[in-house]
Amino acid sequence: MKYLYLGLGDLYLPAVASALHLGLLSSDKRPNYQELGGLPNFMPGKNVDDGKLFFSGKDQAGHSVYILCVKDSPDVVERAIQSFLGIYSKARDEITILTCCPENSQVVKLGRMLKRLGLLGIERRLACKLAVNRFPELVRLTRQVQNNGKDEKKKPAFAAASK
Amino acid sequence: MPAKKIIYHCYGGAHSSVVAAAIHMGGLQTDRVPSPEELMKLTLFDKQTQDGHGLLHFFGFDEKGRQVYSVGCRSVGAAVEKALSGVAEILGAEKELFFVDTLPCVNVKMRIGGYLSRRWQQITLGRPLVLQGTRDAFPTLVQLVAKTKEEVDG
Repeated sequence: MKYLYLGLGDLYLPAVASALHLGLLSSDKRPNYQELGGLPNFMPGKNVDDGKLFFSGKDQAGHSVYILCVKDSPDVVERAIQSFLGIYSKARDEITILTCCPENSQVVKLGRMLKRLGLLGIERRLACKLAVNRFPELVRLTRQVQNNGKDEKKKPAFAAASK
Repeated sequence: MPAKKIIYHCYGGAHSSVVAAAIHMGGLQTDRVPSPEELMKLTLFDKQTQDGHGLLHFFGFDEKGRQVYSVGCRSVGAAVEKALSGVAEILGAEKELFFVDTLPCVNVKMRIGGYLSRRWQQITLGRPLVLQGTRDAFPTLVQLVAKTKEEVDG
């Protein structure tokens, strides 16, 4: 199984989600800004990297985790990937897309504006604040992913054979 | 070797990409500009809705067995290309994809007419305008498809 965490405008939330998934961040408490800053790929998205997949690592079960972000319309990208996987019918069971976008997309626009104005320190603090605020949601998302993975293993053999 | 997949994409997936895919598949003659009725006979022409954006529509296999698709990507066509290329690489199918952006062929009439018809549902105003614009753009789309067919196996 491969997991793709999709974000809007930047890689901050996907990076946190993938870190939770990979066990690089504890889900018991909200991270501080230093912990977030130390995460791999915890960074704003560059225009040239829009849609590009970044490999984050393999989880305990050996599943690959990727992150990506798009500047706009993550629903279109998600639908395109799902639709594309439908062409390879087996692949639908092999790749899971999880969106982790901020509640308010205006925050992303604000971050982009700050970056354009060269206020990178403030942009970073905003990103950390956003990640901390969304942390419970990301924990829920990654726990759901892990529980689904466990449910797949628990399925009786006849259910697997009937696929 | 697995068949190539040619994916024509535009903003809404309702006009230029649909016509390009139809030209590619031989559904529209290339030696003359199609009539508005011929364009309206295309299943997806000026019928796509917003929740259809991102969905790949299969047009069939061309004369060389290549699969032809169209898709509406709004303003994230480049991101969709990169994302699908990345996913294809995971599946070991990265060499199968060939993307064609038909937006450079879209003229002002198509933009305004398409917006009126699809976004604002003002079909009475928008559809005649987008039809006229598409007919004006038709030779450019024919050239684009011809170039695609030359390049895709290169």
